[in-house]
Amino acid sequence: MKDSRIPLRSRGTAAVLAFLLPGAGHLYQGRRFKAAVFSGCILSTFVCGLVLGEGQPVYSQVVHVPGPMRSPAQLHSGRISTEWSLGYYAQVFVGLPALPALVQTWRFSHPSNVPGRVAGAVDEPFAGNLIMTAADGEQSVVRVQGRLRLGPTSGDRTEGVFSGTDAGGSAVELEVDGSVTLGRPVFGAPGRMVRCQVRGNGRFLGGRLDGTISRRFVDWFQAPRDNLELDRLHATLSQRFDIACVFTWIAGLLNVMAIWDAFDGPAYGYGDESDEDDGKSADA
Amino acid sequence: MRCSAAAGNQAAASWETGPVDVRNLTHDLFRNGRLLMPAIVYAVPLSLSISLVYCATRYELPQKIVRSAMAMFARILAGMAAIYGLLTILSW
Repeated sequence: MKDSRIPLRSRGTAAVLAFLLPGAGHLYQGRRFKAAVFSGCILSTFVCGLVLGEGQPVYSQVVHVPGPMRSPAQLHSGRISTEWSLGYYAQVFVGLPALPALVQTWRFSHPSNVPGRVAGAVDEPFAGNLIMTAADGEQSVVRVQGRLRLGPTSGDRTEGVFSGTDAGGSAVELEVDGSVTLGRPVFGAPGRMVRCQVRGNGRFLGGRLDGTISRRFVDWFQAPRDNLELDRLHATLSQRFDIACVFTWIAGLLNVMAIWDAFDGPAYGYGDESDEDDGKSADA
Repeated sequence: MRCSAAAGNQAAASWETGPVDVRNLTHDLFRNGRLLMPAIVYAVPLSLSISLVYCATRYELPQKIVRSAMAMFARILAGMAAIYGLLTILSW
């Protein structure tokens, strides 16, 4: 509703600014109280969602690996498919705070973003499973954590050392020798998957380490992820992840109303109409 | 090292997550001596935020916005409390 007392200035510019940053359009129009309400409420709701979901409720695409077996998309070098996340259609209206997801989608789909070998030296904290195979085919699986040092690589072989402890607190020291596969550089999970062959010891012929090392923040924040990672989030954060998603969706939807307010003014009027008029308009 | 082929399959499927702590999937009020936030509590600031933004898009006068937002906030809380109470009685 237009009112001569409300300075809408250039309505299109105000709407674009309101989209880019909640409250910015109203600040441009000189409507400071509303700018404070919109930026304070919408941005705090969005940030609360991000904090509750440990930075991970915003992503534009979900990655699917074809085939009946669900293998991690991080390590899958073949064809993958993606679909848009429905929640992102709401989140995107928060503007700039949610737009990195589109940049990450572009980075994710770049041909260079594939699982690969170790390019340089790796020295990172590692957590995962050690799977050893004995001569009779029996498999032993233990959860380990420690430090993984990899490099140099010659051909298909990478040398390295894992030193850490198993779930029982016993020291584990293993030599990495063989192929090492690192997960995609850009992927929506803070842990970058690693699969590497390790030398046998004692009655074990050999085995492999399956686990994760850290991934740079700029490589996982708002990036596409697969259902395996979403399952992990639900397992670790439980209902908190769902609540976090709801917060970010609502923040985006609230900004749709704020954008329209910057473009066309308040829906019911200035607010100084008589209560009788106000009641009628509200009922309508 | 514990040996199990079944465990091997499980490990290959679960990757880095390790065993899921089922306590994370419960709705305990206390865990390890710490007060956990019941999920319903998150609805309070969210409702306040929704009320303020909604009413700010209806009116221009700050007093009118705040007054109508508080009324809307109270109505939402009362409505949620009524539904919460009803569901509690039904699940007794």
